[in-house]
Amino acid sequence: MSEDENAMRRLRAANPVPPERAPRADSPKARALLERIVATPVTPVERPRRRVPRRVKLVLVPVVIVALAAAGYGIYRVVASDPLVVACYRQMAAVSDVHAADASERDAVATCRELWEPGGEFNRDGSLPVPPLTACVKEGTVAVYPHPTGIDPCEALGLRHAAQTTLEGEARALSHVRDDLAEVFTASCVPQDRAVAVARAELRRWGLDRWRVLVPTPFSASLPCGGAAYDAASRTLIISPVETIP
Amino acid sequence: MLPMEEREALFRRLYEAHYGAIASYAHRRLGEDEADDLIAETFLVAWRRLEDVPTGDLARPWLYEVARRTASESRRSAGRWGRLRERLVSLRPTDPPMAPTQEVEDRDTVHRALSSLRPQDRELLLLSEWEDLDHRQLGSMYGCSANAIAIRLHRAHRRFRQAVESADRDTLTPEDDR
Repeated sequence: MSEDENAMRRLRAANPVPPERAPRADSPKARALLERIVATPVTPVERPRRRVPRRVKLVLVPVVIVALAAAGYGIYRVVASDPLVVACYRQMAAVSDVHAADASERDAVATCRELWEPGGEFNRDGSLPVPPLTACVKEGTVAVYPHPTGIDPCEALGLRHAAQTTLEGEARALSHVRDDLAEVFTASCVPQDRAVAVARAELRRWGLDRWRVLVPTPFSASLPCGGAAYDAASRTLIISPVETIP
Repeated sequence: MLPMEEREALFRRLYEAHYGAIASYAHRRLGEDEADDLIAETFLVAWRRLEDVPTGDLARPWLYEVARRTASESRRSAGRWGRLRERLVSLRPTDPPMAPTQEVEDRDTVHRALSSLRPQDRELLLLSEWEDLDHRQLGSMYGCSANAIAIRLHRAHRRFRQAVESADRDTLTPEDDR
């Protein structure tokens, strides 16, 4: 059992209300509650205009602007904005079981191939052959799909091929910066001056001295908190204002 | 608005299908004393907003989101997480005092590790491991794709593993008194 699996086993064992002890819907208490609720009058609810959830905005703000030209692979290949993690898919489908793994100096395909080896996550009983695997880029991360021979999963799923699938130098450093800043900016509302200072400190810390920090949109009372976006082509870290953190 | 007969039939099916899960969640988050209020509030919201409840396997995450928000309001006002942790360590309060078993110590270690995580990581981990929500269901709660959830969970798993290892190192093992 891996260390990760052992930690998860211990977490599940620490569940204070395991499934076998779940309260039952047919208990007298539950039945009494049900009857009280259905006896409650219902009036039509006036629906406020639906706002985009804050979480979605926070996720969207770190927009990835990918260096197509810098990758040198033409328009069909892109550099993953988040190369620290590899998503290994069980099926060649838009929606499928996915197992995330740490990226490393090893190729992403090799990382995911382990899951297909006998005993791996996707092949527990060893009855499946190891399929051909190809790396694409989905939502900024390297996504590795199994596929029949002769089929291009990236093309079939409308994705770009991954230009590089191993962590290298600046990409790796940038991903550390992204990780660290995501943690800072989601933990609390960081005002403009501090957001810029933290961003500069992170770039220095990870050796990205050639990167600059820009604030094209000043913060305001309605958008007081920092978020980050990255333009690898111009080596620019863009600090953007977002709404208040919940 | 749905006709009353149809509304009631739909709601009863929803309640019976998900009461156990929501009640378990309420007990884990707030303890026995306040779980009943959270369960009632959650299903009352569902009764009033039945037209908004998704069908199929996305109904449960919707209910969890209502429960989660309600529990957050309650916890925020009284710092409940610490008290919950204390309650969880004492598995059966009516038992006579005794030396902590290995099981109790391990639970304490796990809960210390959980306490050290960022709230976002902790919440995601528990929704996945204790509430047994899959990536798609979690994605519907968080407003993001299953792929994004897988990435975030992977990071949360890693941080939790590191926290457990740290908590294990901090646990004293008295070997010299034997």
